[in-house]
Amino acid sequence: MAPEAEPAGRTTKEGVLYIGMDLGCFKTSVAATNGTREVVHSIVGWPKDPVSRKMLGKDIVFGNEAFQHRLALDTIRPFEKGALKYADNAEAGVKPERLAKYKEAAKELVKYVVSLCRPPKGTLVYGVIGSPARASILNKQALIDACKGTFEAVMIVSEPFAVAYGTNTLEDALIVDIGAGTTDLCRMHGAIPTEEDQVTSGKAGDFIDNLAMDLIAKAHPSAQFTVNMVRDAKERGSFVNDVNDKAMVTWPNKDGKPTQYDITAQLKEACSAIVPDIVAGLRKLVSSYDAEFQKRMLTNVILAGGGSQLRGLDRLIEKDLDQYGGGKVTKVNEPVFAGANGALKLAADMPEDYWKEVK
Amino acid sequence: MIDVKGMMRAASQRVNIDQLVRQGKKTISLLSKEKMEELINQAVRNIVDKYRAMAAGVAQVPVDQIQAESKAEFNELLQTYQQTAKAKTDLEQSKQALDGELEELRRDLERQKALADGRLSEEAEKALVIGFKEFERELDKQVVRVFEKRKAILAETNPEEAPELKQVEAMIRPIIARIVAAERERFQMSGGQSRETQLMEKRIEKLYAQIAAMESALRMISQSKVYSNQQINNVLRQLGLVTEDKNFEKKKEMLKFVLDANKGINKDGAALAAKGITLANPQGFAEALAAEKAVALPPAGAPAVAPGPEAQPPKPA
Repeated sequence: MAPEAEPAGRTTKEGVLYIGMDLGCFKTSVAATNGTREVVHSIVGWPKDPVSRKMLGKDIVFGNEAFQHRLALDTIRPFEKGALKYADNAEAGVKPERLAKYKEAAKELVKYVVSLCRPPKGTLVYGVIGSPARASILNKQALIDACKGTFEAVMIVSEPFAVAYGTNTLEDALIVDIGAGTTDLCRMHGAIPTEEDQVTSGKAGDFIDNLAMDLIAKAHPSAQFTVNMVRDAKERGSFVNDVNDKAMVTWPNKDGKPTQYDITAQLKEACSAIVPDIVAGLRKLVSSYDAEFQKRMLTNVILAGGGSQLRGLDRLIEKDLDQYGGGKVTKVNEPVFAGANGALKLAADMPEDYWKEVK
Repeated sequence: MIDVKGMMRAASQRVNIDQLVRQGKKTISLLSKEKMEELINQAVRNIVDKYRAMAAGVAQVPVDQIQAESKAEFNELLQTYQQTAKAKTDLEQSKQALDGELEELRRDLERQKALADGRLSEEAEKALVIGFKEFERELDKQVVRVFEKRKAILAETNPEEAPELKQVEAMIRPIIARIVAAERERFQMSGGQSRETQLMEKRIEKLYAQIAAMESALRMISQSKVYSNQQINNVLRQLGLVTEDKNFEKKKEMLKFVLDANKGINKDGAALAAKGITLANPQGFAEALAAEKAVALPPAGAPAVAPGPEAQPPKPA
């Protein structure tokens, strides 16, 4: 049961709760100064009919619960395929008449995620939200709109910059934030990253899932599976290194009989498919940097985001970087919370006066 | 299975702890023989399993390849284990530091409170109290002596007045005792004594608040689902206990940029909305953006201005 959010309309300042949020296409992570750290599915659902309403006992369902009962719900993933976040309607496949529903879902999701932080009554809630590097002003405005009424004041920052700020790697570092929708690369050189310091690739978690699905369908035509099952298999046993693991799954065959399938090769191929773009992006950022410092930057590549959990990805990128003279790739300690932690750090460091200016 | 323990015994070197301390090593990470054996065996088992599964119809795998893969697998397992162990050690150290600080605060508070309660009176106060008590006793003795002397005189001259004198004595002695007690109280309350007590009480309140904050931090850390340095830092930051970092000045500038960028988003978003350009109706957005670029947007956090051909590659700030 989700905790209820405190009512809005606070007038007195009885303390401030700072929140850092990473609104992901697939999952949303949040961290707050009261110690809350949660990650939920970015999904909102409304019961399809009175029966499902009765079963669920509520008019609107969020996150993991909505994901679990998605068959009984009209679900919306407000940020799916970059909707609201970085793509326009046509690109994200959102029909214009559905956009209002997406916006409503985004607003409700933000409200729900903030409620998980349990801000005490009368507390001011200030938040920093991560947005992809390629988000336009319209996208950023849409995110700010989604936060209105829930936050007292909110600021938007680029996701890889939030990771860099959170990990305190502000100089001579390359941040690679692999999410579900995009892989954002950002060059940190001791100053705020500008547009030319950032590169976005569309090959990320969703791309891997879809490619793996195609490859598995070709390799095992008798298997019945969905993209969620593929994603689950990927999250449990994904790897790109050349060692010993085997990804075995038990899925129904055409007759519905549970059958074991070996999807090792397909998962590995799909996971490895994002690497060339990452290396190309890194190369682009490094080659346009001051020549004296290029080597130093290549030895400080930091992987973050849910996609960075692919085992062996760091080594594979290092191997690919060998052709450019080598590099050193490390993973952040908490890939899923890296963006939210950085956003929280930004929020907590932000002077009080600044918040008043964006209220 | 491999005799890892035997191999480790043969390959390891014993070092005295005192020697490490002399080298300035205060903390050391320990990796037990059992854990190493487990990691190595797991790595080898994984490789063996893999090749056993591949055995049918596959050409012979070179020994070098197996060794390299085993080594890579072991290194990865070891790295994961070390990262977990490091996170745990960091947390324990942070907790120990907090515990120590809390204990010190508690002792300080106890001392201050005892002083304020008068349990641990200062020397001067003690002397004063003792002095007053002695003075009271001495005064009482003097009164008794005066009456005894008077009784003796009366017994010789006018013995029938002796009982009356006894009554007077019974009345006078308590009156004198009351007057002395009142005077002592008045003396104690006068001067700087009361102000000092007030200051002490304020200090105690502050110490109590600090202890409550510390305890809250410790409780939060100990009850959290996931331990990490980041989480501890968040709690410490909230308490204002986090130490400054080397990028402090840089971060200050960056925060200002972030603010400016967000003010820019709000301003530009409102301007576009006024023109009817929104996410639902993005027609004209590209043109509006191009027009704004032409008049050169101020540099915000993520400026929309693309670098010109003359733009130099960025240098570290």
